[in-house]
Amino acid sequence: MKTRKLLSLLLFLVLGILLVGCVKDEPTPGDKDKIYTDDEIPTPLTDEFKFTKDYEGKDFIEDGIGQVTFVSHVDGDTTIFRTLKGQVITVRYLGIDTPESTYKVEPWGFAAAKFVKKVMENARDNDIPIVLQADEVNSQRVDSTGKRYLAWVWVGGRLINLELVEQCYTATKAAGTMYASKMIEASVAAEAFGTRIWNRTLKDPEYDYSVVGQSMSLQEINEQYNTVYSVANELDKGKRVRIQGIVTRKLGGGNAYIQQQVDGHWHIGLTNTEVVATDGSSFPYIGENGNWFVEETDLGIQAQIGEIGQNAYEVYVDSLPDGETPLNQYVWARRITVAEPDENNLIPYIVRENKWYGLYLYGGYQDVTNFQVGREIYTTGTIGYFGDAVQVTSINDATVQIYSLNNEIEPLEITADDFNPNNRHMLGLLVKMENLLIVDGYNTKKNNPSNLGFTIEAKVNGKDINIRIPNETYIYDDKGNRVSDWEYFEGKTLDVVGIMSIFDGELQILVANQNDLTY
Amino acid sequence: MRKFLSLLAMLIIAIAVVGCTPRGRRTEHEIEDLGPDYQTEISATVTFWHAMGQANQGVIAEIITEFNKEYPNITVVQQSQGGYTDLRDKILTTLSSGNNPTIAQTYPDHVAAYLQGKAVRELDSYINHARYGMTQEEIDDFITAYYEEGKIYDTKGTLYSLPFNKSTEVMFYNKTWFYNEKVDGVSLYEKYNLGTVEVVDEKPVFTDNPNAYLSWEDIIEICEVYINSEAYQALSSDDKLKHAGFAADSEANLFITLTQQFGGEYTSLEEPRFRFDNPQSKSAIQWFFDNKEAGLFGTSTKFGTDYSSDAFKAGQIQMTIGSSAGANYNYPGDPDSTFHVGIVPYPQFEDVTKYGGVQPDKGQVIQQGTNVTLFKCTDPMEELAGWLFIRFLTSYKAAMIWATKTGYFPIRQSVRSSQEYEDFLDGKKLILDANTGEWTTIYEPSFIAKTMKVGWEQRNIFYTSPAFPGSSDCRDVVEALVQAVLYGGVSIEQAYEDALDELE
Repeated sequence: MKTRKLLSLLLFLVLGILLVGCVKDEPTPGDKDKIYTDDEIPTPLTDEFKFTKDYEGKDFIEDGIGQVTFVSHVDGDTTIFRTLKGQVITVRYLGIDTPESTYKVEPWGFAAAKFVKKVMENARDNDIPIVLQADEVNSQRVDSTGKRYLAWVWVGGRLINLELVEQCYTATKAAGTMYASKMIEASVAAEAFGTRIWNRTLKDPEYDYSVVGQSMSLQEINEQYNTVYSVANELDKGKRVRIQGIVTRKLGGGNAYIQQQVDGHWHIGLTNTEVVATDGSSFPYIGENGNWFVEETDLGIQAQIGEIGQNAYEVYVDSLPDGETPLNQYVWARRITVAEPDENNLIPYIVRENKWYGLYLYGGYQDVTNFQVGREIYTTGTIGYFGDAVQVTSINDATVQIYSLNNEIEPLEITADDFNPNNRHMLGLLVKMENLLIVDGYNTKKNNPSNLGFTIEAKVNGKDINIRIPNETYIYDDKGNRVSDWEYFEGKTLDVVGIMSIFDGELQILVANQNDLTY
Repeated sequence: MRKFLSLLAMLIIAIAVVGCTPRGRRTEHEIEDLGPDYQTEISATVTFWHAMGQANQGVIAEIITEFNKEYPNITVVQQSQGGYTDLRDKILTTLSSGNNPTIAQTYPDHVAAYLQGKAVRELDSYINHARYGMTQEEIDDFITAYYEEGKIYDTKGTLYSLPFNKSTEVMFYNKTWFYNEKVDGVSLYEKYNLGTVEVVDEKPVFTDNPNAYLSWEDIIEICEVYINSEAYQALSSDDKLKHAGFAADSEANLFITLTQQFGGEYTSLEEPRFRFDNPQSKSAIQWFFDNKEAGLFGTSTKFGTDYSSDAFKAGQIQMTIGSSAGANYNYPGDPDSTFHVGIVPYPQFEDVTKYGGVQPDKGQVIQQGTNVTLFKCTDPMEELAGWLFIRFLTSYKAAMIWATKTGYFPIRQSVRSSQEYEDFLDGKKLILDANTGEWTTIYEPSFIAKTMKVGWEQRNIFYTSPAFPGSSDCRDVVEALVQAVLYGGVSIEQAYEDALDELE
């Protein structure tokens, strides 16, 4: 009996679909040259498809359906919500895969992300209910990473997953789910409408299609994009840049920190070192002098008296004077030749304070073999933001080229005073601190079971020094098991080498290699 | 139930495709001869639907650019349709309206479904065409197993597809653990002849044995070493449940491969098509179940994810089987910060009769991946242009680009045996060092290249399963069967019965 009913239903369905499928009008194509706003794109399937399930008092985690509140935005197919019982969860939208706008940037990625953000913020600001629904056909609750819940996301009774398809922001990955046929129907109509991802000639105005990218020093990157304002506003996110630096540490398979020594402040004093002018004359040492401003040009070093005079000098860097030693590892001196001495025959002596700037390159889940510690590399990539700092993304082995091998970079020894969130120019630098007594910490797996990272805390002169052991860095105990509890380090005194980084507004030294911890 | 609904949905769409009057796409026509200047004469637009991600779309774009150097008036529009099954369903949906693509990326069971709608163009007349076809040498240059997969749809061996992206399964092992774990003072790495070790600056430097291999019997021994190790014994009883010596990624592949390795049959083109209910297959599942119960084995379900790669990277297992195309998921990162990973071929049994199997003539390992298929077109020029793109896509030039930039296997012998591909596998890099001004050659094979090298060695023992409408649903059903037996407390007899019920 059951089988007969099922067959009748099947027959009915087939006939129904035959009827609908064969006579249905062709979807209307849109204007191929027009950049549509979200409001201008027809979404008839989303408009018609109504949410009818009961979700009152239900919790998404426990019941598979439930109202949630918007916590924060990630991108076009991922959002962070708080469930009825207060659990904060990352949700990956079922059945879709919008273009990327985080670890790498793809055309229409920002637009899709903005669409979802706008929907969520509007829901939050106007008390529009957001309901998550687990799939009733596919019982899988989390995605392949095991970290993100999968859900159909209903906002004010509209299925956002479906709307993203109709808005031409994504193809479908809905096979085997409860709304598979609806999603395919939307995909067919969206492709017929033919805008955004379905239009191969229309350019996304927010995507940087340039191949080469703007050449920028890490100092420029830091000063333009690592300010609190730039990070908060994600300034120029997606802009393509070309950068160079020495790999200081590799993190995971596809990520690296690089550093670049760039022209910092040039202090010009006077010296008794023999200095030869371009006319062959030489000049004696006279005495100390003040600071001058110097910049590098195609012709060499352009020097100018800053505070104490107006005369300009063209100077050429030669080599370190005999007997001169760098003032410290970041300040060193070079012999110069001047084109024209000043009226008092004061001979400029250049002391160059070479600053280092650092940056995180994110390549994600891959093996970037060109990232090896000590290599000077250059690469193109796109500006992105994560954890309150700038990073460069869209990196892979093909974008990374090797410029030189076997460079050495010593970590910068810092004190507790340097450990200050205002020192944003130090973000991304390889630093070292010694004699840190671990007094506190926390484990990431408490909130995210698949992340075995943890943070340990030391107190120096009343200041908390956080040391982060990320999921990508493996520390083993004496039995050979991986350590994933901060308590393992409680009471131990450590020397640590790591990257000065910031996450959720807190400074931390991020350990990228198990050999960088000495205890 | 999920499988049934999925099967039902596919049936409905397929029947709708067959039932609707096609709007002109089902035409059979003669191939037009454009003369010797056909490369510049022909003008058409080809739509190519696939399920590739953004990175591989870039590689396809590169191939299209190369194609257009030879065929300047053919426009190829590639379009990713999301997931593989969505691609299939969307094609099935559009076949009725004629809005289907010219060519598409296809799994064998997809082709079988499109054939129900008589929508697929046979390729024999194109590949053997005097002007547009391939020489016998070019045909023979295809990896035989890949080419033959295009002919499995009828007893005549009609060609309906050519190979595109191909992968297999291999085994990854935690080399650092194998080195640290010693039996009678000898590391497991050396005991099982996986390679030699030299200690430099207190760090092990590994030289892998190119013929390294672990049998299932070896794996059981190694798993026993693991669960008797100090590290495992130090775990809490809860944590022990989340650890094992070995785990397989894909439960469907595990079922099919073990069935084959036990000398059993999985499916057939002839009725009855579902043939896995046999003693060999049941012995295989019993064998795996016994080892799972002993704490030695697991599958991805044990760790609550689709893949066992996260558990491998977290150190919860010391060996895992996974797809060569997804190798990077088993790569934890820089070995200095994480651990070294070794790669060996898919394990086989030294003597499967001990476990109730029938020893097959040769090893068995799955061949996975997709092909490209041409649809019948109203416009003969579009269809011809579609074929010409397929011919180019499967040519030496395009196959080289694809194999060296995507991590899929070469589909041609000539690509595999070329120096260029060998250099790719070896990770050869020529560097002008700005510090010294000297050119330096370094070899840094990527993890995926190392995996390809191992996977390739299995080419002579590849098997493929017959494709027919519903064959992919059979995969879903046997996956559920494995889960029910291993984790659901269902008896083997009951699980097989349930699986057949669901399919029937």
